[in-house]
Amino acid sequence: MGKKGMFLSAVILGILLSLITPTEEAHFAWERLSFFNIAFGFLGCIVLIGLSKALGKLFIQKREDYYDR
Amino acid sequence: MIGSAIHPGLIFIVGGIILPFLRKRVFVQIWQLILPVIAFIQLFYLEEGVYGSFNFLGYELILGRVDRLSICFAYIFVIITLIGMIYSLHVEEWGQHSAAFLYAGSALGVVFAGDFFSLFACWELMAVSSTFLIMYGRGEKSLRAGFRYLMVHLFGGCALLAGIVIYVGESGSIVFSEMETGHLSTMLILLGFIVNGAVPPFHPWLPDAYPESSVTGGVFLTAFTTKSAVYVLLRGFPGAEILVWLGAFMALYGVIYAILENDLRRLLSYHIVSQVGFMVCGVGLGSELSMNGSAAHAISHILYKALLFMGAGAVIEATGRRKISELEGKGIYKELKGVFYLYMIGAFSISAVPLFNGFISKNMIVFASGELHRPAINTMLHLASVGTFLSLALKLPYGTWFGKRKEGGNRDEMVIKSLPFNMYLGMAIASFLCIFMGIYPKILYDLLPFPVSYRPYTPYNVLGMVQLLLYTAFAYFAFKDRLKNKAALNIDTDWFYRRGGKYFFDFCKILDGKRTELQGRIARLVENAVRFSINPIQTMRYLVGNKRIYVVPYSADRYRQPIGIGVMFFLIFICLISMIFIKRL
Repeated sequence: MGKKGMFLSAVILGILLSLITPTEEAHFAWERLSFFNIAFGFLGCIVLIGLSKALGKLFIQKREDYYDR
Repeated sequence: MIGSAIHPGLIFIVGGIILPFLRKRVFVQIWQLILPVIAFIQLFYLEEGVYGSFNFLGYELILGRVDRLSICFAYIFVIITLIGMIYSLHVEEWGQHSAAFLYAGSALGVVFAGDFFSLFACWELMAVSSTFLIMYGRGEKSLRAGFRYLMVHLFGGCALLAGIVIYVGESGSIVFSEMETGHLSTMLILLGFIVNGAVPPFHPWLPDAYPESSVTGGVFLTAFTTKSAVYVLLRGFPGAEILVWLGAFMALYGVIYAILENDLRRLLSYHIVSQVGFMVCGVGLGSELSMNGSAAHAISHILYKALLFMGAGAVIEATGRRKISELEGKGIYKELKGVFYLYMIGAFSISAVPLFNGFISKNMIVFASGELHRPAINTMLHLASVGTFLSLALKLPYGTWFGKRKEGGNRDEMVIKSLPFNMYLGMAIASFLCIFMGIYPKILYDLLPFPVSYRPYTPYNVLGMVQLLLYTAFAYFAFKDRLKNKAALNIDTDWFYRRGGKYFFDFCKILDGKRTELQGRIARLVENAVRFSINPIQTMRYLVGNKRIYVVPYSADRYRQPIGIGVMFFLIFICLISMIFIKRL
């Protein structure tokens, strides 16, 4: 099984898991949605990368010798 | 001394002072191992109660308040000292070991202190001794970072002292116990605590200084300062609402900076900020579960973060490089396979993968936030978990051990040193404890301050976490090209004292220039006034030419004119008068 196969099986595994997970313990209504966790993981990751990159471009990232000059 | 027992911190402090006199390397190494073991045995037989209280200037000092909260922190402090000492056995500089023992001893002193005075004394000793561990990184950068670190901690110490003085003045008691926020005294004490806890905006000392420390010193640094701050927050400010928001904000803040970071240990440092955020949030939530979670997470965190620092330190020690962009595509996996697997145990622990210790502790806090119906806080903490997994278990190891070789540059060859056995041993012990606690949570839960009814391994918790992390990984691999490791410097709030300070000085210089100019003008004015009073005639003549002259005092004889001039003026006057007179007629 190549890289793509592993990738795909992990993705399918995630979806299958989300269908069988019991959600009675969830504290909030949206956590009871069956795809909540996978959606949160996926979107959260993208949001964090996007947010930090945007902030980095905006003012955080400087040249490495910024403080030495 | 604590009555019949000996203060474990005292063992470390006295041991650290004796250490330089042992001369022979072997003796020092034996000493390094034996002290933590003695302290552990001492701790094991220590019963709850108050020890070592004595009267000092009319106040009662308590050096040893032993209860469930202090003892769980003390255990982990002693264990991590042992692990750190094993990791640093090969280091020949005795100064590092001595400083580390003083640091660990004073941290234990903080944990057992029952009054504000002894707390403050240990607090300051902790700041000073840890500075040495940073400066032992050697080189200009470490010295400067160490100095900045000390300055920030002295600021925090001053705030704490000011708060303590006002508090004692108001209440008349020096007992360190639960306080209410909102008074000047307690807010100053809280400020002192959160400076050490690296709560934004007072956090930049941590990612600034820790990466510059010596490879072995970093392991101790990750354990004591921030976690003793969590301890004092748990003791002094449980349920303070401000801590909930600060903690949740901090958890996300650290994660966002970590995603941008390129320096191995600085990336890990930002994750200390983030993880301490979980603990601070737990303290603020104030329920038994959340506070148990904070204590448990502090213990777990000390273990896995030390493991991660040891792993990153091992890479730095072996390759001499400290940035992901310098290691990317070098394929060091072949040579440093062992370090990789040990590091990954730490990375899975911090990401709260089931069966690792982060899972049983971090989720207590997240669960507590749900139980208390705090949706915003709950979501922020979840998001921080995603970011932790993203940068520590995916980005950092992928870039460091694997990664694509960049086209073009960066093809220089790299010599990889082999690492001493003791470094692997230190990491292995920490890894073992991370997994052991993850599999057998009872050992951790039995130590916690309150009885635990929380069950970590429910299908919902486990499966939910697995899904979350699987899809984070999915998103990472789908977008990893967007996340290039750029060699850059990320400015943080330390800008205010590193750059802002410089600008302030420049501004002061300009002001000073203006002041000098004004002073010069006033001085000349005064000088001229003096001259004028000495000799008005001479001054008036030369002032027009703007020359500096030697002033001769006025003398009537010197400026006496021939008598004819006087007669002439007189005649002109008479003439004018008579003309006017004639016209009137």
